[in-house]
Amino acid sequence: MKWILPLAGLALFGFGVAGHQEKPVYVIVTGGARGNLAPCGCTKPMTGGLKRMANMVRELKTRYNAAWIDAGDITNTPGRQSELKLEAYAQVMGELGVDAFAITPSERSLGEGMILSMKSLAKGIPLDPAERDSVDIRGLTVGIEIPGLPHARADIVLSTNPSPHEPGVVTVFPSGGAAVARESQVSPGEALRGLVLLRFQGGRLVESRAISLEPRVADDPQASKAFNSYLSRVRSERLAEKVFRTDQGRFAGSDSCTKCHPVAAKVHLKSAHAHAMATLKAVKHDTDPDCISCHSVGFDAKGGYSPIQPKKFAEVGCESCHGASADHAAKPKQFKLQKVGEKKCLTCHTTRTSPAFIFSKNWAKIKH
Amino acid sequence: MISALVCLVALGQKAPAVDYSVPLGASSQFHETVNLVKSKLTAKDFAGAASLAKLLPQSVISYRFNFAKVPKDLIESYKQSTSFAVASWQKSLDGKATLVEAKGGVPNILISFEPVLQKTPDTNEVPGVAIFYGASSAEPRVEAVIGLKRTAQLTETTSAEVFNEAVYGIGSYLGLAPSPVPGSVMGRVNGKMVGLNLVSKEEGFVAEANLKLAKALRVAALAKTVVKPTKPQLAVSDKVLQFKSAFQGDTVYEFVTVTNKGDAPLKMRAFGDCSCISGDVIPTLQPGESAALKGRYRTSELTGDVEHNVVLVSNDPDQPTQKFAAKIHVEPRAEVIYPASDTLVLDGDSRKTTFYIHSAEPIEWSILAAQLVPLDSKVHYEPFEGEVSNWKDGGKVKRVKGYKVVADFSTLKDEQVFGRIMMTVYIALSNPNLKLVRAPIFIQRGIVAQPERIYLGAPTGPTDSNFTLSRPGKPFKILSTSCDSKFVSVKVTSSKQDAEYTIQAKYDGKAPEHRLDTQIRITTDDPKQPLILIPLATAQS
Repeated sequence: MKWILPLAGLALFGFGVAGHQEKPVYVIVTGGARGNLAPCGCTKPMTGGLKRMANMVRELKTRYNAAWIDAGDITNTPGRQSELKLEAYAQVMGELGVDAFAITPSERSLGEGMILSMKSLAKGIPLDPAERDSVDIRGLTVGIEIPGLPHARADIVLSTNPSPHEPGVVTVFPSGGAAVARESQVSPGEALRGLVLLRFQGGRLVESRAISLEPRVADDPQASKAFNSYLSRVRSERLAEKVFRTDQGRFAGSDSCTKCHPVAAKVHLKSAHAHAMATLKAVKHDTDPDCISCHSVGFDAKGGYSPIQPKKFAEVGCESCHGASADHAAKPKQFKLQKVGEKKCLTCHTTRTSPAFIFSKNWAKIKH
Repeated sequence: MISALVCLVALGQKAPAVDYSVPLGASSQFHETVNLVKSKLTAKDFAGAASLAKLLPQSVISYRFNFAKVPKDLIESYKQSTSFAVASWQKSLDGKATLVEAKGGVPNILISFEPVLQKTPDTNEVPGVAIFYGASSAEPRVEAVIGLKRTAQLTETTSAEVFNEAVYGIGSYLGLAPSPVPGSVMGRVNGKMVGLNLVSKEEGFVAEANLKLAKALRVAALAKTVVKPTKPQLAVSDKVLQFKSAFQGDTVYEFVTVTNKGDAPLKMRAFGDCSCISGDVIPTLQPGESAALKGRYRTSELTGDVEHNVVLVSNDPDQPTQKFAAKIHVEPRAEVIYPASDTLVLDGDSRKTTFYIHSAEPIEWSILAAQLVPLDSKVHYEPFEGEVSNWKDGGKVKRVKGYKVVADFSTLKDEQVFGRIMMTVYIALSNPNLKLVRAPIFIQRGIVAQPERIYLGAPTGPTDSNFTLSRPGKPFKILSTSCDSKFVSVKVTSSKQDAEYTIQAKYDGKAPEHRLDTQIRITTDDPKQPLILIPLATAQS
């Protein structure tokens, strides 16, 4: 019953109160995952994720008999992991009964075969600009906007463009931040951190509400199974061994640094950086390429961390920040290393992965 | 109300003037009737005005449906549609007027059915509905006759179409003008209509405003108030917004002049028929005034010759909606031209692909650097001027001035290529208005299945999944399909020029605990890939 608080807030805005006139139609709007099926989980509190989203969708469907449409934009860059993410997301849509879902350029970029697989798993009605650009759901027309063409005439238009359409038309667009519900322009936000519930009455939008998928929203058991299956597939397909690697120089390993930099090494050993891979193992993400790069040394570099030799270059080491240093270790005076600062920290400690990260406060923990 | 007026008089204030102007979105019939009533009031024929005002929408609206000509098997569903149509308007009117089924006498609205309506002479199509306006108490004010068949192919009218025509008939009685916006009640079309046209917020407002004006005129007739007949008249300098050519990403403006040549305020609203174009106009023009109707194109998602429309809705009864064609040519700032395809099939020595960067913009630029990511490969480039065929434009030859770029995958090892991979060539350019061009290239090794593994999720019964087997530009034949599991059948469902096949894997729902971990076998005529194995599995735990 962790969801009770977010839903209690809805009642204040009229949701749950059917009104005296006619039966309202509720519509859940999700989308904009952009490859983020789960919050990073490294620090607390973390918001969002497929499992929380599924729980909230299930509750809203039960409580309000709500229809569910997904605005797409599920993945970010093309690749096998994105394909697995798309299938896991589509599986959850199918299991929870999505009414309609958008095929956006991000899904399209994965190729026709993946669109076929997505359609098979999601089971709802695909809004695919190539085939069908609108659908009627409970008396409301939901359409998808095709870039460069007139959008489908609809009560709800799924669009990549936040510009308002004609009066009375609800525009759903992906946003770079939190979920928004501003008059007839709504967005489920980015990275599955929220969703939007719309209430229509007599065919008109009378209320919209952005719901944040906060930590108090529990995980949905069925979606958890689908997500675990996704992680198993990432592991069994050994995606972490197949990452593309570039030439970034030769790595020496943190032990090489200890001889000349004993104080810095001591600080490092006491820090969370030295246990970064153990943290991943605990949450079964140690074979997830999305996570490993910030929990190891040189994951995207030739000669860097590889799951084939999991002990070498695991954890966040000296070279994670200072770069490949084998040359420096061999000839320190000839090959000097660049100093690094806040900017380097922020490559991993982003607002999404480390929402509580404050450079001045956190630097004090590893000052060396 | 009376006490409020008394208070205003006592305070020495004037009661607000009654607005007798016709609202935006009203029909020409409504406007015409309003002016007839006003003429009677001007001539002080108040009884005549009161009589004519009965033709305007009433606060209690009687209606009747006549299903006499509807086949018996359709009556029930048609009745549901028409009842829903009445309920739909009733909800939108929100107590401002009440729709009541007429038990006897002549109703305000009669909706009846005919087997087929007469073809319209101009388009030769069979309309879905015909609206007749009565002018005496002996006939309904509006009779909407719905055809049981419609369109040139004489398709049967569906219950959704009956709903749409019925709400349109009621909207006509309420004095709403036909709308250019498909999907709205007054935006009905004669062709096939799939969705339900529900009353929009705007249409609810127009109906409410018309009811308010009708009531004001009836009160004027009773109070013997003189009201002059007036009407706005829209005049436009041009029907086309011809924008100057722009480069992709520019926001550009163009305008035409609109003038009110009538003797009543002209009320207007403008909008675009696509989110890429919008219209802007001063909402009210007094008689004799002119203003600009401004169109704005946002071209970030457009290229080539583009034509959309700016729609102007006004309360000019003779032209309630005007469409302005908004024409523009948008030049891409830089275009990536693939002469053959954007997919490179790695096969033996064929490990290079060529494309061209062309800028139509007359600016100086050169390539500073180019890089292929994410795989290690080389990019060569050199200035180029000449003609090349454009694969994306059906092979049309195009004059190119820019650079020839060769992506070279010679150093790529076969084992680095899994399935179909998207590579991106990032090209840094010297001009500040043209800094970076991205050229996507897909590479694959031979025939590729997509997805490379078939995932059925966690099925609870029979289900299926579709996938593709492709090798762009290099046709091949599928000789057989099968699956190692007896619970899965496999068949080819379609083929695109023998280079891309769609294949269906159908699970019969009989596997123990619905657990599958098997593989599909596909044999081909390619000697290098005679057998293709594609794993198929259900959810893993």
